[in-house]
Amino acid sequence: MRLIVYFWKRLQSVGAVYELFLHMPLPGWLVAFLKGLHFRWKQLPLDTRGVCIGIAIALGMHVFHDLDSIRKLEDSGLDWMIKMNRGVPRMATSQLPPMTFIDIDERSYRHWGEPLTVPRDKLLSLIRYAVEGGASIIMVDVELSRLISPDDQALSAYLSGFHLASSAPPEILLARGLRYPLKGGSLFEQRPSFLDSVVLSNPHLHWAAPLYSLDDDGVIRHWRLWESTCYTEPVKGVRQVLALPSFQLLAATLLAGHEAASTLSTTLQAYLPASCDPVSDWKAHEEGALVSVGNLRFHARQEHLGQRILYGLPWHLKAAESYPIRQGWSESNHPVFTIKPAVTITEVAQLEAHSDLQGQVVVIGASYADSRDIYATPLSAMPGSMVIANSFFSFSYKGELEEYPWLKWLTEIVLIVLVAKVFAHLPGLAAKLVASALTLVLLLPISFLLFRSGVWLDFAIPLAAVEMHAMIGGIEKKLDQLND
Amino acid sequence: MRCSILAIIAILSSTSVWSGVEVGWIEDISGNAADVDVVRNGKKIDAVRFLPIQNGDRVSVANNSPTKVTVSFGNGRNSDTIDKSHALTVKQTGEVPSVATNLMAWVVSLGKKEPQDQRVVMASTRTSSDSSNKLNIPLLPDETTLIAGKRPLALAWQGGKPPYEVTLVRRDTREVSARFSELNTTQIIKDVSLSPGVYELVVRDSASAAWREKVLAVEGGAIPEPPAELRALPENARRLLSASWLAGVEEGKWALEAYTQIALLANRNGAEENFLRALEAGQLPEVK
Repeated sequence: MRLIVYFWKRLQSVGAVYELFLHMPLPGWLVAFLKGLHFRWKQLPLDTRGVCIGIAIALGMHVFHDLDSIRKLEDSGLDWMIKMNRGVPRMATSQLPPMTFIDIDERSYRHWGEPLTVPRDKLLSLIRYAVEGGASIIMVDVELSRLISPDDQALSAYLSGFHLASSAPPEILLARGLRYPLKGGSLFEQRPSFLDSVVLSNPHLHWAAPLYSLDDDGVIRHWRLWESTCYTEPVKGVRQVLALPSFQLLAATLLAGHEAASTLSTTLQAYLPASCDPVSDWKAHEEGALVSVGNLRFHARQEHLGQRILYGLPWHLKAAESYPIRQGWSESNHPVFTIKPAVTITEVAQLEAHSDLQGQVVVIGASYADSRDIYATPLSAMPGSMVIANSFFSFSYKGELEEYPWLKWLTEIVLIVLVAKVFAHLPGLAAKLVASALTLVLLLPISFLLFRSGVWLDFAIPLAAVEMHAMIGGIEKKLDQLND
Repeated sequence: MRCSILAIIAILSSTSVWSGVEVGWIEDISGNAADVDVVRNGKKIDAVRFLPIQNGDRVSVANNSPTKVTVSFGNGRNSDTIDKSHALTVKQTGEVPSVATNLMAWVVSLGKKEPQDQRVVMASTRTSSDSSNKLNIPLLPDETTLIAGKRPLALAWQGGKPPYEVTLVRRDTREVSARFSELNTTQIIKDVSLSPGVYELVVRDSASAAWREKVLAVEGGAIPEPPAELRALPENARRLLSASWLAGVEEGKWALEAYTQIALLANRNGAEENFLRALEAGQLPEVK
């Protein structure tokens, strides 16, 4: 629906200028110039004229591809594609472990007496549950900067030693508190935490960045794979620049092993600015180098398309819907995604062995309304933890979204020829309708199929190109009238 | 055209049946929970509120019991109420969304007047009084008890703004046994005179916050003796285990005494330090 509304709005603004041109009286010198141009143009065969128009439009689209308006057109197409792939079982056949979202939901929040912030004793119970359940990765999407109560000491003590109780302890990723710089610097500042020393001393604890880019329509579409941040050492006050990977990047790396995680840390150091102060010659991060860590590849500079989160996990399923089944994970069929209210963990004293978390990726976060942690996404509004879960699946499944330039050019050539033929042989409105239908029929199935492999073939921009083709047809008609 | 339509429709569609997977929880038990049976793989589980329910579980209520159980499914969207006349064997199934069903839903949504994802938000900020770093003494549970006499005493508190003023005063006579100012949140008082009776320990910080705790002083014979089997242990283990046992018995009333015993040791090991930190945070050992 948004796609249609978007197209309609664009057409209204462009169309107004177009209509003005068609109906306004033109000065004599312009009429003479246009008549000369038109005469030469009319000497060309119809098909050739159509192909020329198509090539001009395609070149224009490529030259101005980075314009915000063209990107938004592409975003609309991708949003629609994401919606059409909502909850489909593309991850079910991947090698990724299933995921469980331990959700501090409205019910849990009310049962806990509506605390202003997430109680640390409850959070400790949830982490302990995930650790004892055998999770492989636990992402804690709760900020842990400030000391609040004596319970913090218990949390700190547990996190210091949880890894000693198991031969294969999980990796715990904690959301790092980040704040905007006050003095005009471009780097986020890491907020000191009472857990700083604990994280430093335990190799199974990691800080992760929970940052995402919010588009100007208030929708989260793009991840930020890592951040250059500034950290001020609390005792001596020394400031240093540190790379902080995102939840999805760090989790995907840790799944590949501890060695990959330490490689990630050292690799990212190469792309950091020299100091926390604003600098004009910081180029390394801007050059778009390809970073390789184990099997993972991503761009140091975050490309617009490569940053897209391919949301697949809806927060709310419709009645009688279920998440896909992860094939071959355990003896029983296991869904790729499970949401478990926090209250079913913290309020049940004698939980039986919960080995169903064995090897899973667990996200602990909040969805209650007062948490103010709910965001618009192309799928629907969802809690920040669901954005993290989707980013993890999206990044681990296929990495950055790709485009095949050769395929793009090939489809464009085919479409230019076909659309030229259509406009050569059919009258205005009929040509526009047939050309649009032809574009959709040709591109949509390929686009759907490629999307499942993490490749994007845009269909929205070619549709806009057909519209432009029709407009140029209208201009030709006006010139014909001038000649007559 | 036909090929294109087929290509779109050919994209997957499937139904899932989960077994042994959590699909809901007990939302409410109205009546006697002992009358409710939750049977999983042939084994009975105690029914309590918020107990996770798995596919394959059987939930029933004993005959002649008025108890009712509500089980929630689908993230709380659906529920089923079970009573003596209606048992439930849980079997939740669901259709996995496919491109075809999503496309259909999108086409249907084009004809709807109301927006699909509209929600109400609260455009206000939140506030609270500053409870962080509040002065408190988790080391002292209710009925904290000490042995009377001329003795040393270790104390620890948390939060607040230094410097602190600490006073130990006898309630009936207002006689001050100890008064000192301190920058740190731990302190060992080498010489305190306590006679049997009720005392009040007051810690004040420089922001005028105060924490008061009642402390009882009793004759030496009242302190419980550690279990005999501890005597056979090596010195290091014996003193820590004895102190742990003392801190845990009688609902923690001897925790301060146990804390003092370990805090006075000149060369403490890591386990003893951990013991002190745990007591300072109000964590008492469990004694069976």
